Amino acid sequence: MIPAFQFALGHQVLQGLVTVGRYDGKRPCISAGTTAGKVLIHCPHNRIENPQNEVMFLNINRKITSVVTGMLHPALQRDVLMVGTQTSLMVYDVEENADLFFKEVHDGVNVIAFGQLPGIEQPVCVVGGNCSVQAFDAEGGELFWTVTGDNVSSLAFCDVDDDGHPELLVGTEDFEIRALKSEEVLKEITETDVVLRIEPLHKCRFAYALMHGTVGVYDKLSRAWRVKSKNRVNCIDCFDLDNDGVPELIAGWENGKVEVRNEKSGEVICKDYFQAPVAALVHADYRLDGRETLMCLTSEGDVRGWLPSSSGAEHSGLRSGVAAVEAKENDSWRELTAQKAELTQELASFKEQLKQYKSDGKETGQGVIPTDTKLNASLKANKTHGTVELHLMTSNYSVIRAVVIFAEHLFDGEACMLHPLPPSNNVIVQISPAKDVQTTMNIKAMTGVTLSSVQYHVFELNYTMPKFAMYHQVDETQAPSGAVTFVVQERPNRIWSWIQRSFISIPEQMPAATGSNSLEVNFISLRTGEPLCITMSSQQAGLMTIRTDDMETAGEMVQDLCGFLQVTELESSANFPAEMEKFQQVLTRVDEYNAVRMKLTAEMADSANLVKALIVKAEDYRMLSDMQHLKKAFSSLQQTNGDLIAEYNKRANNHQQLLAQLKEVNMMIQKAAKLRMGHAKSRVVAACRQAIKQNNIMGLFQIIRTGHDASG
Amino acid sequence: MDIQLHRLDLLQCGALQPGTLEVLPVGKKKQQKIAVGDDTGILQVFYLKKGEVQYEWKSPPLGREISSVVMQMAKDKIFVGCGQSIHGFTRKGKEFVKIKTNLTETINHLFVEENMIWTGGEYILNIYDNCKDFGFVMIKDRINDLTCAPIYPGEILSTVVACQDKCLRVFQGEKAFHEFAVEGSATAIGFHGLNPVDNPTHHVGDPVQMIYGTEQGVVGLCSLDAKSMRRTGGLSDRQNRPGAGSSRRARVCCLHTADISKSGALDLLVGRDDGTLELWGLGDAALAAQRLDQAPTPLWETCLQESIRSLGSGHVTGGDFVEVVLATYGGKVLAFTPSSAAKDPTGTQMAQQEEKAEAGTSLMTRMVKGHKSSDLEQAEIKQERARRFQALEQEVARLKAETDKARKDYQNLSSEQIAMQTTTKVSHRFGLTSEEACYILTIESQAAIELIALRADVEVDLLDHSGTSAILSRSRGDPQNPLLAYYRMQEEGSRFQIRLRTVEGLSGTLSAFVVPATQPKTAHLISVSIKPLALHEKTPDVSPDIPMNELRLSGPFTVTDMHSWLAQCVNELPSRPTDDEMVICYRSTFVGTQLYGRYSKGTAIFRSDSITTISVLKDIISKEATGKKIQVSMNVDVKEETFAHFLELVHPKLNYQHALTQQVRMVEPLREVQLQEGETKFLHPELQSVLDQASDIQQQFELQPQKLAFLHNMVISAYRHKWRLRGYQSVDHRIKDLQKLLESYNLESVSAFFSESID
Repeated sequence: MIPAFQFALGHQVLQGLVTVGRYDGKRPCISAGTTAGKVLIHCPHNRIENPQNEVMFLNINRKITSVVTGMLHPALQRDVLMVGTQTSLMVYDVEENADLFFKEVHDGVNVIAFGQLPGIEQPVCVVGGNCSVQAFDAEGGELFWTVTGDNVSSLAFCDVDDDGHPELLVGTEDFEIRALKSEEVLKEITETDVVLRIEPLHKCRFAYALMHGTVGVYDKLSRAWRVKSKNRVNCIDCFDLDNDGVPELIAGWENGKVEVRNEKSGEVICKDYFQAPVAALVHADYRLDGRETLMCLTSEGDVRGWLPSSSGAEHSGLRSGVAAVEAKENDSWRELTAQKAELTQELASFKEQLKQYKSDGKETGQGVIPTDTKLNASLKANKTHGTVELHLMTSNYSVIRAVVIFAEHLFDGEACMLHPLPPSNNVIVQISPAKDVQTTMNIKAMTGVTLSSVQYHVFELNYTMPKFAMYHQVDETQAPSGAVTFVVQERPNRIWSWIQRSFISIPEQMPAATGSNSLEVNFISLRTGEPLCITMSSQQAGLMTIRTDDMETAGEMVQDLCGFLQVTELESSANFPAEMEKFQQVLTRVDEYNAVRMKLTAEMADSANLVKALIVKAEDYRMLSDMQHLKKAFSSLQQTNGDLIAEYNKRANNHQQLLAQLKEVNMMIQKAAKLRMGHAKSRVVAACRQAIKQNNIMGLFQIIRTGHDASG
Repeated sequence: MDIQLHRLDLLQCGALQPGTLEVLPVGKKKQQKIAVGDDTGILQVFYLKKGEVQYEWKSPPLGREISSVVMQMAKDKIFVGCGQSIHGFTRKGKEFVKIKTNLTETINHLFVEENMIWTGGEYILNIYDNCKDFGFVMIKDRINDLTCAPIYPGEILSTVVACQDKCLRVFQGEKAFHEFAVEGSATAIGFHGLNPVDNPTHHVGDPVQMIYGTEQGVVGLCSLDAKSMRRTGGLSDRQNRPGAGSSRRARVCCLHTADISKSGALDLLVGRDDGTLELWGLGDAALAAQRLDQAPTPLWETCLQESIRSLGSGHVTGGDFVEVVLATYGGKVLAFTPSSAAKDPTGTQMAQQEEKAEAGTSLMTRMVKGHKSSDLEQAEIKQERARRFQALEQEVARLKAETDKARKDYQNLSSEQIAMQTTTKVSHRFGLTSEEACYILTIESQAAIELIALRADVEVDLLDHSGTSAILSRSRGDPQNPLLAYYRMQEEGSRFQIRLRTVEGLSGTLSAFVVPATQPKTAHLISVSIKPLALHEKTPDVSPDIPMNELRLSGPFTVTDMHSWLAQCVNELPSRPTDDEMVICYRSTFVGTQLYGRYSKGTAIFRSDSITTISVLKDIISKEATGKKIQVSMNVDVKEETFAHFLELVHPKLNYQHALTQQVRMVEPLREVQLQEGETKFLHPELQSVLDQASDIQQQFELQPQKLAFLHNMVISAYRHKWRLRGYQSVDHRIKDLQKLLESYNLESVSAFFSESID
């Protein structure tokens, strides 16, 4: 990769806070968040008018969380700068040096995306905060609001269902990527770590990056490929660097590496290195020569730019077309040769095995381990440890020396290794998944004859961990007070097969029911020991009740059941007294913290005034050379300063608490929505938002219970 | 000069041992043939015709893995070392001699001149004259390479042996003549140019120009005569890689010289353990006499991702070029040629060229004919290419079908496809790199590795190894398995390295389950022992005038007893005592403290300026002796002045790390000040320099995050051992104070603390 240009901004650049905007409608400027709450704007094309002022600073004076540009106000015909901080969103017109609007955002701003939402005509500024997504227009009016399962960590627009309209993709800190069409969730994808970034590639494909160093590509909500690295990925961008008409995925890493990968295969096309961590990758026609350039900024403020290679254009040309074909042929020849070598080796290996088996193995059946050995796996619940146990057992005396299990979501890393001592022919692996997710475990068990063996057979086994493996079936349990009730038009044996699929240790045969249409299954949670009952009433056709005190679990089960039965619309009524009581407390606390916040802000204003007065006084004393009083003034100034800092800490603390409670509120709405499907689901979200805005607490409770507001 | 070498895949055979490939001398035709012997015990001789491999002959299986292949000097007979026997073949493939030796070691190295045969095993050099024993020498440490040359005037050639203990040794018959210390464990030797035996212009007594390579990656050029060895030049072991900074070059596996670049002078070829093949220019031919004094220039380099086992050169494709021929661990035989026709891997263009050369003059006429025929030629080439492609595709399809059938057959016998015995070779090496004070475990497999699972019964620090993309996952350990981790390979590769650091004083075992991606799937278990004094490396001697603590032992033990006990503590010890009175010298690679030991039957003395080392030795020896029921009386002399010396040794490192940690803390606040104030002239010069070197400081710190803690622990353990050897079992109440002193580090105060009395 040969850079086209290179320069240094001379200031630090914070990771991910870089964008390119045309603030006068024509000339692009790199805008980057830097330390001490400032935004740096690099305007190389202003040099002629203002040679001293290539770099400008905007003082935000708060911790900047996101910087995005876009034509939010179409009438202006130029980009405006959108800056997010922990508590506010500011939209600023750089050209006019004026705010379009400044808005306090209670849920905080973690990430901003600029684009078009379905059903809303003008472009909007989408803000992802703590468990919520909001959209604002150019006046700061709220046009859209919905909740998510956790704090939003990334946002992007991509047409993942191929209907011509881009959907909003929301990555959250609970490892999920959700595709939203208006309020409706098209699909939830569970990834393996916090989703740092999502970037649309082209058409229905998008690229993503995770906290622990994975980058990959999804094609219409199914994963095309991914690679993991031991380094942290800081940023990704999609840009057609080799000029073949398809953008490549470019990833910038913590260790200063920039990699260009083919979006189809994930193969590395080329790479470059920096001395400092890569802070951001952006592309724009930065030199105003009509060609887009890819630019990479490091955290030290170094910028390097690359033009799309011209060789790509030559590829399509006639002359070198032959060479290209030849090169391709040569590659496939090498591939074939490699394949040949591999096959030869494998063939030789099998032939050798066959030969040895025939010569001496026939009588004894003794290989690395007896050749008729089998490995059995089963899942059992362990109530005392609160875990799910995976039992692995060989069919004879051969011992399992080591077990490696690869599975997403189950372990801290991507896998778990066991080395039982002394080795025996059965191994028990204790697994306690933190989340209810269905995963496939890829088990590799190294099995040998004795402890001192040097060669081991590797059993490879895929085993599914059902979604609700952490719920253990019991005969009797006391019924919890919370419950969700809904009607599904299905026979009990369909429900039974869902239970078989989603839980462990469920017998094949449905127990002889009391009535032909009824069903009752009891579980206890291995995590908390709390009971959970699923019943289907015989009186009313298809009336199902899930009894649990955990509203979230109930929601997960409703969603999973609907997915299994392919139900798209579902109304339900919920009654969770314990959760509701807690929620009531949360709401009270929100009020309390809000009150405290007002009071503290007022107090701070007083102290700030005192500071001003003291400084003036001290200056007066200095003029009068009254050192004694000067000293006094300064010492009280120091004291006031100390007070201010203490006050600030209090406020910060209070704010943190408030945020946590607001998150609880949003999560409650999310939980309530998850008890329903389809239209009812989005209606709950909208109605709850309305109720909160009107501070209608009773209404809110009713919506959560029934799914309808008072009017409906 | 830019030179481009093109790769030609010649052959895929079984796994190979080092030194099992030879390029046969020029025969009737100009084109040279290649002999290679692999682990299946088959020696094959082949040549290239029209870009395709043709077999001249194949030997019947010799029963064991072939461990060396050489040409008889100045003749065209091929000699093969195979287990404990030597086989001789004529050019035509007739086995004319077979010698069954009574050796216990495998014949790893072989040299044949007229009726004399030299063999090298693990430790023993043997000489045969007319198939009869002529002499043998037991070498002090492992033989890594062996060759012979006329260095001393005499009836027979002198033998040059590259040894593990950082020496080149020269023998004349059974008599040792020279012992030259080199930069590291010598792993390969070769001649600059031809072996002087083959060189008619060479006279006995003239200095012999040799090249050697070491474990650490250094290549040296030296001039050897009856009186001395002179190092005349060499290659540095450092290389710069973009992004990764400078890194060490890998261990040298084989060396060769040939005029590849057609400059008239010999170029140096280096094959390394990590699969790197390098071509170095040694300077202008016009300056032939002084050429070795010039610094070599790198001409070309490639990486094959698996270690290179043998190197040779010759006219193998039949063109005018001298080509490189090499063999890798996994059994690939490759050629690298400057001929651009080799760009076409199908070999069509090569065949074309061959035909042209045969046609000779007709080529000229064709050239005159010009464009039209060239188009015709193009079409011909295209057709031929298509034909070859098809043939290969068919071959692959056939193999696939055959493999499927074999797999099914086997599945009928064993439904889980459990292997009778694995056919994939996996080997490993475990070595110390002194400058980083860490171990490198290198694992190499015949096939691509799928995953490696690690387990150790002692605490082991796994360090980040640049250059691998394998993903590490750790599992929570338990008291029995403090380390449980596994690596998943992301890119295909048959070679893997892990860097790890151990804590001195603990002993245990590290096991690795290596799973190659072959069917039937089998895991190989590799075990290496971690020794309590693992970070000590052998040195030629110790400096005499430093204060040392002393451990004296006496009792009814033999030299062998003591030797085996020592072998539990330190690495690099010969497998058995080589003298009645053994002397050992070691140096700690991290701090630089030394260990000197002298032991014979009944008595032993160990001296070290590190109290920890003495204490560890005492513990291990008393444990082992008790196990063998031998009464050993021990006497420890703790010298007070050693601690000041020890702390001084640690001081530069500790001081540097301490300052670095301080500076790193300041970088961020200073940067903010800089941004707020715009200029920083008002700052203290020290702070300004921190700001100037901010990124350097951060980088340095990131490279060695745990180093400060590691150093602190070392000082603390020295303190513990000091008092333990004086009879105080626990000094925990003092450790806290020491820790505090170390936090605000100052040499004098720590020194004073050490000499304070404890009560």
